[in-house]
Amino acid sequence: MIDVLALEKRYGDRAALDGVTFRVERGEIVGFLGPNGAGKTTTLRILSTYLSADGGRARVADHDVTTAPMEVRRKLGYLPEHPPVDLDQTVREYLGFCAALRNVPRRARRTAVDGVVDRCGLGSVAGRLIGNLSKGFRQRVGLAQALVHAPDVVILDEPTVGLDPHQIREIRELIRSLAGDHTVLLSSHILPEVAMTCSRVVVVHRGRVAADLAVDAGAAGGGLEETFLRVTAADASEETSA
Amino acid sequence: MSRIFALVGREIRSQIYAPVAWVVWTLFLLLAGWFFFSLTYQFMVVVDNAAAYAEMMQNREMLEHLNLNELVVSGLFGNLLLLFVFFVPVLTMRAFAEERKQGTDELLLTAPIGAGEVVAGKYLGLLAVTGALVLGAAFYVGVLLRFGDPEKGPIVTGLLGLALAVAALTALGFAVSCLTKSQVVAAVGSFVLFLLLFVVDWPAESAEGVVRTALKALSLPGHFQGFAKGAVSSVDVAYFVSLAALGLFVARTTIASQRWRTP
Repeated sequence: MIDVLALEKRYGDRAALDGVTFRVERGEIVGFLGPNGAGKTTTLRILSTYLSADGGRARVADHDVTTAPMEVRRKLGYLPEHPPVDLDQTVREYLGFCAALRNVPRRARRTAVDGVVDRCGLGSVAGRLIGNLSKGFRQRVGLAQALVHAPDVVILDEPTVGLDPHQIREIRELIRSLAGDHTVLLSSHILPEVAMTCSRVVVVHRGRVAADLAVDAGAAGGGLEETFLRVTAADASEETSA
Repeated sequence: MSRIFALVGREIRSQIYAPVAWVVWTLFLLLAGWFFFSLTYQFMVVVDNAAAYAEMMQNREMLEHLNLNELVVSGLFGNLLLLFVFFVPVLTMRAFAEERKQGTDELLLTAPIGAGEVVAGKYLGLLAVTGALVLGAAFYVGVLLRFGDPEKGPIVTGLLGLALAVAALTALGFAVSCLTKSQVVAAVGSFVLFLLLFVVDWPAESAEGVVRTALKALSLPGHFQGFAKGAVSSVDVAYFVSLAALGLFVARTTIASQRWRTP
């Protein structure tokens, strides 16, 4: 469902992505890991068609992000790094707007909005202005926005940032419930988080894929951390010496 | 189509939930009211003086030359145009700058909606808010119609001219707002642009040839005068429509190309 081949992106002289390659199969939940600045957000932004790539190619839901961006967008639910919420609208107004923007037919919109309000635990704040909500609720509104049109592919950039442990657990359950129907790619740098939600992880490091391995949900937390630290070690030592 | 409506609704909601539009509308009515009052008051004094003079000269026909349209309506329309130069930038400054700042552009630009639709939806929503200024202007003219006897023709064309001017300035303000992340920069940028269009023909009288023609062709009040006096010319209409088209084109191009520029 997501097929990334030798993706490159430069910001000025700096190569943010230097040949990222990985695949996500239909119905999988894949964690996208890496130290800060490794290129996670850049990759996800290219996959969401928000940014262009400088080289390589990427296909999402069987469409190329460069040549058929509209086809990709129709199949995609995307939560950016900063939840793209309208602070001056109520939760329900905002989600209704997002549903309309994503071609949910007028008659189905109410049901779609009620559905995600329920799934993301927004019932108690549905009538409130988003600007008056806490960070955790805004994050959940952002997540609801990515799911309101029941997309095939869901891309989440750090979905649990800013949440408290209870909320993290709820969101984790929610994401796990997406497996099968939806293909999910989520970025994070919280390892236990990824170990518990994802079936596979892709570790990026300095714009390249450093590891691509299956997660054994049970005891994998420790093993994952070892692997993560090992494959991203070069970066840490170089940064401290620089 | 329903996506455009959704954008229009969102734009109007976000404007009327925020205090900015209400403050602008109120201050506009206040200033427009002051202009209206001073013009009608001057007119009354002029009429009184003229009446006394005419009686002295035993010549009632002199009063016929005092025209409510020329002395009040036309002047009022000119003043309102200047007010638009100040107030429209405040209403358009957040149009796209705020989307960038809040990160909601990432929502719009990853949704299955083209840049043209985004521009159409946002522009129509903005137009509802800036167009309300023309309704405010119509209110004062309505007072004249109720208590005086002005010619109706120039009033209709004047309001049409104001509406066209608002449509053009809104599009230009929207375009400027697409070019920056900062509302303040957007407001100042549009204000300077509008003011420049307002004064661009000042050196025209002393210029010659093509320079003179060009300066006059760019002038905002130059193309508005006709409307205020009751004459609709296709050149003037084309001027405002072209400005609006230019603004929308810049907005569309900027939004459509955002993906290809490094943030």
